[in-house]
Amino acid sequence: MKAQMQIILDKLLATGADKASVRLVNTHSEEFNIIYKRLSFMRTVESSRLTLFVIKDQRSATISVNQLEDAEIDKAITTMFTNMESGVPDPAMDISPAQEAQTWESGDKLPNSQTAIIRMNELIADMRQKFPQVEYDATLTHNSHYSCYLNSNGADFVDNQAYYSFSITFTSKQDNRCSSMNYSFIALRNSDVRLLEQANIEELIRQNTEQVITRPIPESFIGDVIFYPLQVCRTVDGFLESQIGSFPFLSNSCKFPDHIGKQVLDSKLTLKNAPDYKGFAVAARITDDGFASQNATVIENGVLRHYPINLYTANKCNMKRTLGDPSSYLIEAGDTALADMIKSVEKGVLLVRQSGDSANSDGDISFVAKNSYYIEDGKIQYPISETMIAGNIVNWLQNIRAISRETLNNGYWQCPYFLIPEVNISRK
Amino acid sequence: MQISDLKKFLPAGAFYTELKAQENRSMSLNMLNGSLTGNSVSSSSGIMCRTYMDGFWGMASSVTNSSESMHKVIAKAVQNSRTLSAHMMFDGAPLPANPAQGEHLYFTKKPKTGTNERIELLKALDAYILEKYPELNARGASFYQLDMEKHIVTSDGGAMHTMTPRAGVTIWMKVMHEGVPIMHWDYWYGMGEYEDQIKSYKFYCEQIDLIHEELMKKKAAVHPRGGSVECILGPRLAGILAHEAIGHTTEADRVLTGSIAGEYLNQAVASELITLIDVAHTWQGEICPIPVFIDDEGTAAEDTMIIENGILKGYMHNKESAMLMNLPLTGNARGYQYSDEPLIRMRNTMIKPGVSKLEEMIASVEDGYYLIESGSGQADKTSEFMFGVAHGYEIKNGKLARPIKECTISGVAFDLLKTVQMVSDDLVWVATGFCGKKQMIPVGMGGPAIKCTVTMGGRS
Repeated sequence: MKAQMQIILDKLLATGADKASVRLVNTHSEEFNIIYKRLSFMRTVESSRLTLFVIKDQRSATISVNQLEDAEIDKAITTMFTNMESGVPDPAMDISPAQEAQTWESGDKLPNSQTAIIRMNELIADMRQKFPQVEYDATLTHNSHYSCYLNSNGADFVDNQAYYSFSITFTSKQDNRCSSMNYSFIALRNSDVRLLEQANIEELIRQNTEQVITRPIPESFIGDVIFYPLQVCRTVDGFLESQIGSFPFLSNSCKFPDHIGKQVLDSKLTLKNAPDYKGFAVAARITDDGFASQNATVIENGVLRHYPINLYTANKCNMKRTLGDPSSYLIEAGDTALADMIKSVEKGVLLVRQSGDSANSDGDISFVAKNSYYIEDGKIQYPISETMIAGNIVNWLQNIRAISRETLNNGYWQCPYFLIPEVNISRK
Repeated sequence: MQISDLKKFLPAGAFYTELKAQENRSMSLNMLNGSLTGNSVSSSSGIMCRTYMDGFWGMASSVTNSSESMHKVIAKAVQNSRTLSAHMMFDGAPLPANPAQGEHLYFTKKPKTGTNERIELLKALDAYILEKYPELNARGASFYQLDMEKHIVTSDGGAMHTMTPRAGVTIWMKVMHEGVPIMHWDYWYGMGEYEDQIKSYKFYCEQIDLIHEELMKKKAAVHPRGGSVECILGPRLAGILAHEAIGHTTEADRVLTGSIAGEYLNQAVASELITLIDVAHTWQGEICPIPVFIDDEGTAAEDTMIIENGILKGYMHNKESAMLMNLPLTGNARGYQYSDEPLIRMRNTMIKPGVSKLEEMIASVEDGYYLIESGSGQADKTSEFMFGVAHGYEIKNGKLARPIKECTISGVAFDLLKTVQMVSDDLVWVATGFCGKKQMIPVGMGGPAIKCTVTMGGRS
């Protein structure tokens, strides 16, 4: 495969490209689906994706195809060069520099179908016994990816990863009422584990059974919100993307334009990109802009260490690309037990799921609290409905009252709970 | 691989089989502050087989479009069905059928344009913005087109060849005001290729002026107050309400897995002013944004009456849900890629227009909001929904007042629809959206303006 990629790269240069890159991703997946509480659908997918990128006279173009015969690739190259010649010269367009060649290998390349079926049938039995009132669909997939990235500067990466992914959505029914739908998703190194016991899934389903009957919060108020780890991950990701990522720089609206080494968030917050972390079942090894993904601390005790910007943005804005887009989030645990965090809340919400838009370019956000609980006098009171939460993610992350000792690792990332004070919480 | 070729591969036997050859082709062009940051085309094609044997589905796909590959894919799909049926039993009814055959191709009949012409349009629009509005911090113009071409045959007699394109332009502007970035945008998408959907340079320039005008007004935007508020939802928001809040709860797979809509069939769930339909392909003689004449299970696609004059009348089905619920097929099964199984998906979900005029609806509100543009939306099986509001105004004493900042609105859809007091007499289709449900899929949504009560996520 890699030899064929090198031939294609050479062909791009021979056709006239000043610089070029080639990326191939071959995927084989075996998917086992529980639909309507039955293991009733099995799907096999074989796919390929070849992405070519060229620069000539500072003009660039990209093409992505999945037919890899020589004639199809030649046709794709011709189309791409035609499109490139129509382009606008932009000196910021570039490919990644030469880097040490690397190959990553992880996971069992062949699916263990029998084990997967046993584990899915075990899940059905567990659900029938523990949560007979819960309606659910679930998918267990063995994924095997071969990724190869080569470019004309000498970048040379191969990533051979295999892992299992599991997702489940669930709703509880009781008489003529139903709960809000919730879900979970995880990545696993192998399928030989009891699925219900992974990453807090059983507890989320248990909570769901008591969410059939909900109440609005007693009144609109400004109070504390405890963010479930998935919501912490989503909020931090929203901050990176909307406030200090590529788009705010390219659109001349970054509010932290020269803040490396400066305090930008609460000092309790440390965020790492950790593709090598042993606790993760899968990690992106090759970035979209052609670099090996690095282990690095993005935000250390609230101090910004790296902008999550790609090579093009760095060139365009006369900056230095030091990390790229992080994807394997590891947020460090704090020193507060979750139970103590809840006890400290006079009036607030345990936010388990949010339904809403991402933050706008000013960081403003509002969403509906789903599968969540009202907290008063340090105790979880009842599951809530029709409750909206509004605020600004920058303000929230600059004002974290506590971070939990407990963390949730779903195989892709690891996050603790956050307690954020002074949040607008409103009822209908 | 054409229909005639596919038919030759249909395996003999008592089990149900679908064979598909599909290609998705797309082009994406993005200009940002005069730089062409995106200049890409993509294609993805392959074949797939899905079988239903003894109550179990098996499916396999390949990028290789050849006879040998098709034989392998069929064998693997059958093997997958048998792998599951070897472990379990299922005593189900046979799958229902209402097969149709046809060719529905929406290739442009105009001379094809090249990439150069498309980039030149974006460059011209960018230059117009820069010259006329140099104070902006950022500006963007983009073009996107997706063509989905499918050949499908089914063992129960379905056969189709379709090519459904969608294309359009998005323009946005951003300005910093008192240290805060403010954005505004608009988009114009519809069914058809570039040649059929792209409007004149003059049209886009007029729209740019309107976008800029609204952007400047947004400098004075205020946070809406949170809580329960009387609102006029503009057509774009009514369309997303139809899709997110009602449409998803009435997909039969969601009904079978707990949707509250399963409890309400033939009951009053909305004001008598509300009729909500998932239109298959044609509304009042006009082709809809996502015309589906035959679905991906080879079923003849028909309009699904979901709510008629306030009464919940039906659900959207694929073969399996129709079999399990013993209800008629509707033709809602669609898959996104060649390798994707057909799921129950909406097509063109809309609220039927009423008789009121938008102006009189606004005039009837003493203290509320006129909500014009939506962000993304989500819904729940309880029918509780949310969607972002990207553009709107206060209404004070029947008149539009200050613009409002971006916010989120929510509610329980079946409660909200009972509060509807007025429905406007116009219909606007939105053809930009992709709906996510395991796979992405292009959808159409439409609506008139409606007057109702919603919960706003505000801060004042």
